Amino acid sequence: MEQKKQSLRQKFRIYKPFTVCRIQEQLAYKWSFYLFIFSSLFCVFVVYYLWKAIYNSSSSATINGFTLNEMIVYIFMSFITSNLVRVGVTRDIGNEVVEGTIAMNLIKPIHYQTRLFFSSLGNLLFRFLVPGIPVWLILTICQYQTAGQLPPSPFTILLYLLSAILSFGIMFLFDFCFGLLAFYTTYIWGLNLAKQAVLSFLTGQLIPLAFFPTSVQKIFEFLPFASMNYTPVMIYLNKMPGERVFFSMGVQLVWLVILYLVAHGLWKRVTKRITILGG
Amino acid sequence: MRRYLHLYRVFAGQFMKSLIQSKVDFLIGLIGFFFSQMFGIIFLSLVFKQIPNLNGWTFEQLVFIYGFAQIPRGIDHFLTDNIWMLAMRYVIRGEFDRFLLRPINPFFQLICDRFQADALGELIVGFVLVGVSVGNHTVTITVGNVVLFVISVLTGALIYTAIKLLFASLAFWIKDSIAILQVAYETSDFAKYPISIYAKPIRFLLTYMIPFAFVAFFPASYFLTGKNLLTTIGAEVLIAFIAWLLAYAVFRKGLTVYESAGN
Repeated sequence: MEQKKQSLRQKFRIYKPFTVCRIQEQLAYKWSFYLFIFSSLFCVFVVYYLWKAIYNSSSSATINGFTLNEMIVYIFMSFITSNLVRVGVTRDIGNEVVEGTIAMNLIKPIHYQTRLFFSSLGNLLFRFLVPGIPVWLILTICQYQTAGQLPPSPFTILLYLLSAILSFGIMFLFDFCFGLLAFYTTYIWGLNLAKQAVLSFLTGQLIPLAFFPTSVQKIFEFLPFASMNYTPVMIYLNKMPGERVFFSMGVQLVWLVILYLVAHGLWKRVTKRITILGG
Repeated sequence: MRRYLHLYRVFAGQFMKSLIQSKVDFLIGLIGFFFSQMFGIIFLSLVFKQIPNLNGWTFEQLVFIYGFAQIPRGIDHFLTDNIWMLAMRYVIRGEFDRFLLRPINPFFQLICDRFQADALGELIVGFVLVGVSVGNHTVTITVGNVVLFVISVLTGALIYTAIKLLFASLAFWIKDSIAILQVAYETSDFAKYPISIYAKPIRFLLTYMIPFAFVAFFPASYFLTGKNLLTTIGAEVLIAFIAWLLAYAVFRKGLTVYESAGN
């Protein structure tokens, strides 16, 4: 699979079509995609109303350092972020293994992981446009009208985007490692469900990690999950003091490197044992 | 009728065989659904460290509502999961043909084709939480309550089935109704919590349009308070009946406009 070294520019030219193709795919099925996004917003609204009721029932205006307004921003920004970073690589690999097309894709003179990465990039770009931008706009306008709250400074937003991109990378590698399980079981749908449930909890999408007991939070500091969603959202909310922002982004970088090495190692092992039915 | 019962046993037997063959997949699905429902409860328990009650409901009561909601959902999920296939591929790929060729009721064949063992994850969560609620005396066991519980859970499952069948049957006209079905089904997420926390339009939707509130919250509130039997479980039975008749009529109508995909 090793080819002669290509310059970054060449590489980009070779793999760009995969990104474009993914975006076109999503556009072709855009109505079902929109409906899918719409139905996933239900979940967010359930949580939204829960929080409203929770703050109504609470005697103090802040819970674990969050005001109701901050909490609302938190859950919607979590929704946007998790949509951005959700890559679906597990499903891509799973389908290819089940259908056997992975054999052809391994033969082609194209680096498998790089191709997946560029496809996922298409997801990222598309989801930045829908639902990212519209949900963010509606959230910002609603916040301004009901609470007189302005969006954070452009610099904060820039930091958020940087951190979100790091999250995307971490998520991609994690999902890739997870997807390799497809070589051992064919029930990807069930696997994905379990993964999604665990992630939505551990990445702080469902509830800010600050709500967990301190001992559990200590454990989370040694796990990659906070880097997948919690960090960018907390940066957006200005909930981190200056030096903490850079520390957290440093942690994200470290996880990026660790997971890259793990993914690399696993890939080598797995491709050795692959057997494919038919062709 | 005897023939159908016999056939059902045969189908169920086949399913058991496939289950034994794919034990790992079964475990994965079960754990998946178990997790996705269990985290809702952990969420509540974390939040209740900060507040004494939620809109007047205690943590124990919310646990019961949440657990109760899983049971009809799980029953329907286990028995009729194949309805999703109608929405997703049977019509668009012309695969519905085979259900029309055999001299057996097409709906019966549709749901018999596949049972969904993953649903046991939901049922386990549901029964554990209801069991906990009985244990800490949030609800009490009486003969009347047990009978009402069985009625309520079964009619609740029927409401689920009817809603799924109704939206899946749209596929007969629009070929692929998976997205619409998904949206309709996901509204059931709202029903796991007291309906009073939602804004008016959502309450209206859950009560009168897609009646998931009658599957979970209303009957559960009867068991918690012992009040309003007629407007909770009574209404649930009535709604299940109407919803089923409506959904089945649409399904029958759909059969008449079904046209197979050409080869």
